[in-house]
Amino acid sequence: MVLHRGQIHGILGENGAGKSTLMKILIGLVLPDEGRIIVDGAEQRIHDPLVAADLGIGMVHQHFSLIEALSVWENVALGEKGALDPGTVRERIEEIGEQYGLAIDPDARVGDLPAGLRQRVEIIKCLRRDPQIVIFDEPTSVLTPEESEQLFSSLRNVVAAEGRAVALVSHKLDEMLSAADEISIMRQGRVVARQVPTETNARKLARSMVGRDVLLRSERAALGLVGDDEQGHQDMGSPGSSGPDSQHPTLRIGEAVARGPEGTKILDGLTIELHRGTIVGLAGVEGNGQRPLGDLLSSLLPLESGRVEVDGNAVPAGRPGAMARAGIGVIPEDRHDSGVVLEMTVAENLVITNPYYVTRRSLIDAKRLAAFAREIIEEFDIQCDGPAAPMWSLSGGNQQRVVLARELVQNPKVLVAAQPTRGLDVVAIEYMSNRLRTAAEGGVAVLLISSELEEILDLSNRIVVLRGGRVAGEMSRSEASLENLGLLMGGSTG
Amino acid sequence: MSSFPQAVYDIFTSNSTYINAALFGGLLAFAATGEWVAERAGTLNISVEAMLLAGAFTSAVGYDLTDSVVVALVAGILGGMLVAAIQAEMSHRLSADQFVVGLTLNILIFGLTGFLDREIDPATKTAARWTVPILNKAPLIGKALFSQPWPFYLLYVLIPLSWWLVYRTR
Amino acid sequence: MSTGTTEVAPTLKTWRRIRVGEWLVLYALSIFVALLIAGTLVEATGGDWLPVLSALLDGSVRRPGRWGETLGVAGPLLLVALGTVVSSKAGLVNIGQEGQLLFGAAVATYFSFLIGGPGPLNVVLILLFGAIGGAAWAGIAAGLRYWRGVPEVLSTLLLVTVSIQTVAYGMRWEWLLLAPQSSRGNRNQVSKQLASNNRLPRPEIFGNEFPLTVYIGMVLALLLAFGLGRTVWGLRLRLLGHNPRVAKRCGVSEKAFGAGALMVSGGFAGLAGGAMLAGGGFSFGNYQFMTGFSDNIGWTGLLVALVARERVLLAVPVAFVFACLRTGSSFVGSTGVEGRITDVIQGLLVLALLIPPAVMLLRNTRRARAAATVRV
Repeated sequence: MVLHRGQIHGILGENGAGKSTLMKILIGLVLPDEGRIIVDGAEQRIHDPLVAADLGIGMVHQHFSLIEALSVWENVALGEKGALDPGTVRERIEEIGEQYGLAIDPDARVGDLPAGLRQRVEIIKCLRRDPQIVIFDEPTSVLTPEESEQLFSSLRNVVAAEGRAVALVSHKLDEMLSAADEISIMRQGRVVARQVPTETNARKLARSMVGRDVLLRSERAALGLVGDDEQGHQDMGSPGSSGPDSQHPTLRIGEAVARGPEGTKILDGLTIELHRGTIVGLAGVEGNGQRPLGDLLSSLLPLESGRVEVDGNAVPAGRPGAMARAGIGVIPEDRHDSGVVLEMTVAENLVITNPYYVTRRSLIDAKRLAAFAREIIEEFDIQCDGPAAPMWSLSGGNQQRVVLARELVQNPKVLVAAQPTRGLDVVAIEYMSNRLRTAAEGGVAVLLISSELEEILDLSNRIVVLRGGRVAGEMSRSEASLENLGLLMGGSTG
Repeated sequence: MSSFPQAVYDIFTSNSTYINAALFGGLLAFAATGEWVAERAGTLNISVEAMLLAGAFTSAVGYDLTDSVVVALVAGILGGMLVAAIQAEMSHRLSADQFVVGLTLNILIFGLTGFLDREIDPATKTAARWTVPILNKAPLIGKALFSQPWPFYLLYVLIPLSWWLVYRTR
Repeated sequence: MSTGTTEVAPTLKTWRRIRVGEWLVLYALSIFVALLIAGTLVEATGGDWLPVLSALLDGSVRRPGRWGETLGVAGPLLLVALGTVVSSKAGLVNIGQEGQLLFGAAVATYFSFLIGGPGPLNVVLILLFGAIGGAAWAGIAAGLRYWRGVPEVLSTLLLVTVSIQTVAYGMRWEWLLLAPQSSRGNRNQVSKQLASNNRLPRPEIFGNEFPLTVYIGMVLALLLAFGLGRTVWGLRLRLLGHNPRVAKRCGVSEKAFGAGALMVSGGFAGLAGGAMLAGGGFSFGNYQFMTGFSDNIGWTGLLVALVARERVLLAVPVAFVFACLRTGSSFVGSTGVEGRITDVIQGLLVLALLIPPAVMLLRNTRRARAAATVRV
C-alpha cells in the first residue's frame, strides 16, 4: 500500500479484514512478522509508538483515549515532555483550531463534551505533534451527519494546506466515495483492489470488499424495497392474526421520566407505543435519551414517574430481571456493558437470561447445555471454537450474534435493538437487518434505536424521533424523508 | 470513680490528650500523605503496614549504628521505599494481584522485623524536642503542635509539598 | 478466522504454546529461591538452616501425632478460604474473616452453655451458632455496602478491630463469656470449658487425632465446587461477579445476591470459629474461648484463598501447606531460632508463587518484540 503526500487514501474493508491491524503496525502497537515499511524512501523498523511518533506518523483512534475529568488543554498536554505551560498549550490549540476548522474551548471539561467535540480534541492531540502521516481510524462512528461533513472538510484542509499524507480507515462506502482520493480495498489481510472514487460506485466497492454482490441498504431504500411501507400496519406477517391491534399495543411506555446521576432529566416524559409485527425506528442524535431508554427496557433504570406496560400489564422499572421476564428482549448498544459476559463461555452467555432451558431441578445439565449451545451456534452461524469457547475469543460481529440469538430464542414479545449494526461490516449488517425483519414478520414488536438514518429508513414501518429525552415527532415510513427527519432531530418543528 | 461526663471533660481539657493525639496523628499523617499520593495515581496500597514496620526497623538500626537522628530518618525512608519497591515491582510490572502482594508483604515484614529485632535488638532514643516560641503557649494545642520532637515538624513541610506535587506539577 | 481485536494479554493460542515443563521449572525455581533466602536469613543471624527445616518438618508431619495437629489447623483454614471464594465469585472483597471468625466463635461459646439436649445435636448447634455469628458480623458490612454504599473492603477490614473490642467486652463479664472465678484458676480471660459431650469428635487415625472439621471442610469444598459450576445459583453468583449490569438484566438482584454472598462468606468464617472451639486441641485453647482466640486463622485463611486463586479445590492442598507452616513453627523455637521465621517463610513462599505467571507474561512479550525487530 502506498500513501502519497497531499492525498487522502481510503482503506476500506470488512471487520476482520486487517485494516486496523495494518494501521497499528504503522503506529508501532503491533509487530509485523514479515514485510517492510518505507518512509520517504528510507526503510524503517517501527517497534514502538515513540518511534512512530518520531517518524511523524500520527493516528486518531476510533476509541478515544481522553481523561474525562481533565480539561481539553490538559488532555492535549498529556504525554508531552518538559515544563507544563498552560498558556502555550492553549495558544497552540487555538492556532490549530483556526487553521483546520476545529474550533474548541481549551478550558472545557472533556467529560462534558459530546462525541464530535471529543474527537476534535483527539485530532488536535494528533496534529499538535505536526505529523506528516495522519491516520484516521473509523472517524465517523460516533458522529452525526453534520459533524461528519465538518470533519471531512477539515481533513481537506489538513491535506491540501501542508501536503501531508492522510489514511482514512473505514467500512462506510459513501464516506469513501466522497472523501477519498484513492481507495485500497482489503479483504482477509491483503489489498485486493484499488479504485478511484470517480470511476466507481458503492456497488462495485461492496463487491470488492465482500467478493460477491451485496444488496445494500441505500440501494434498497432507493428502490423502495423498505419493509411494507404503505401496507406496514396491515401486513402483520403472522398468519391468523386479525388485523392491526392498534388498541392493544404490545409495549407502551407512558410519560417516562428518569434522572441521571447529576440530577438532570435523561428521559423527560417519553411516550411511545409498539405493536406486534412492526418495526418502529427511533431516530435521533446520540445523547438524546437512547441509552436511558435501552437501560430502562433492560431493567437497569428506575423511573421517577411514568409506566411501562407489556400487553397491558405494568412492569416495574428498575427491578432486576422484570423487563426480561415480561418478554422484552434487548440487544444493547454496548454489548460489553450490558450484553455479554466476556469471561464466561459462549454456552453460558446463551443461557444467563433463562437457564431453565437446560436445567433439571435447578441443576445445570452439562450435556443439555452443550447441545443447546451447539444448536444455536449452528442456526445463527456463530464463528467460535465451540460452546466452551470463552466469549472474549469471539469477534465483535459474532458476539453480537450471540446476543441476538439469545434474545430471539426466548420468543420475546418485544425486541429492542439499540445500534445493532454499529461497527459491523456490510455482510454482518445484511444478516442483522434480515434477522430483525424476520422477527417482525414473526409477530415480534421491534424497537430499533439507531443514529444511522439509513438504517432507520431501511427497516422501519414507523419512525419516531427522539430529542431531549422525549418524542419530538412521529411519522410513517412513507412520510419520512431525510429533510424532515433531520429537522426534527436537529431542533425545529418542521 | 468520677462521673462519666467529668471524665470526658477531663480528657478534652488535658494537655496530654492533645500532645499524644498530635504524636499519633502525626505518625498517621506521614503514612497517610504517602498513601494519598499513591492513590491519586490510582494504586491501592495495602502494604502500608509493612512499609511502616520496615521503616521503623531500619531507622532503629540506623540510629543504633550511628547515634544520629538524621541518619535514622533517612534509613527509615529507605526501608519504606524498599518495601514499596517490592510491592510496585510485583504488582505493577509483574502484574501480580495487588491484594495478595500487599497482604503477604504485611505478614512477611511483620515476621521479618520481629525476627531480626530479636536477633539484632537495636536500641533507640527519642529525638531532641524543638519548641517554637510564642506559638507553643497557645491553650491546649500549643504544646501539642509546637513542642514536639523535631521530626514532627517535617510534617508541616511535607503536606503542602505533596499537595503542590500532585496538583501543580506535570 | 482471526478475531477482530489484538489484545495485549495472552490469547488462547499463546497459552497453549507454553509447555507444562516450563511452568514446573519456574515454580520449582521460585520456591527454591524463597527457601534459599529464608535459609540465608537464618544463617546470617547465627542459626543453622538444617535444624530449622528439620524442626519444621518435625512439627508439622514427622513427629507422632503432629500431622493430626496440622490437619486440625488446616480444617478451619479451609473453611475460611471457602467462604472467601464465595464472596470473591460475587465480585466482593471480604477481608474481615478474622473478625467474623472471632465473633462467630464468641457467639458459639455463649450459646454452648445455654443449650441442653443430646451431645451430637449440641455440637451441630454450636457450629451453627458459630456460622450465624460470623454471618451476622459480615451482615453489618453487607448492610453498609448496600444501604449506604460503603465499600466492603473497608468495612470488613475495620470491623475486625470492632469485633476484637466487642468480644473483649464480652470477656469481662461472667454473664457473657467469662468463666466464673472458681473455674478460672489463675488465668484471667477465659471462658468456661465446653462440656465433654459438647465437643467435636476427634477420631484417631494411625495415632493421630484431629477433629471432624477437616472432613466437614472437604465435604463443603466438594459441595461448593459443584454448586458454583453446576447450579443456577452458582451461575448467577458468577454472573454477578463478572458483570453486575448483565446480572441485573437477567434478574439477579445485586443487593440480595451480593449481601447474601457476603454473609455466606462470614458464615464460613464463623463456622471455622465454632469448629475451632468445639474441636479443641493444643492449637486452639482446648475447648475454651479466650482473648486472641482467632489467632490469625482468619488472615491466613484469606491468604489461602488468594494463593489458591479462588479455586475451591485448590484451596484444600494450599490450606494444608499453610497449616504445616503453622504447626511446624512451634517446633522451630526449640532450635534457638526465633519462631517468627515461619512468617517470613510463609510470606516468601506466597511471593514465590506469584512470580511464575508474571515472568511468563513478560517473557512472551519480550520474545515477540525481539523477533519482530530482528526480522523486519
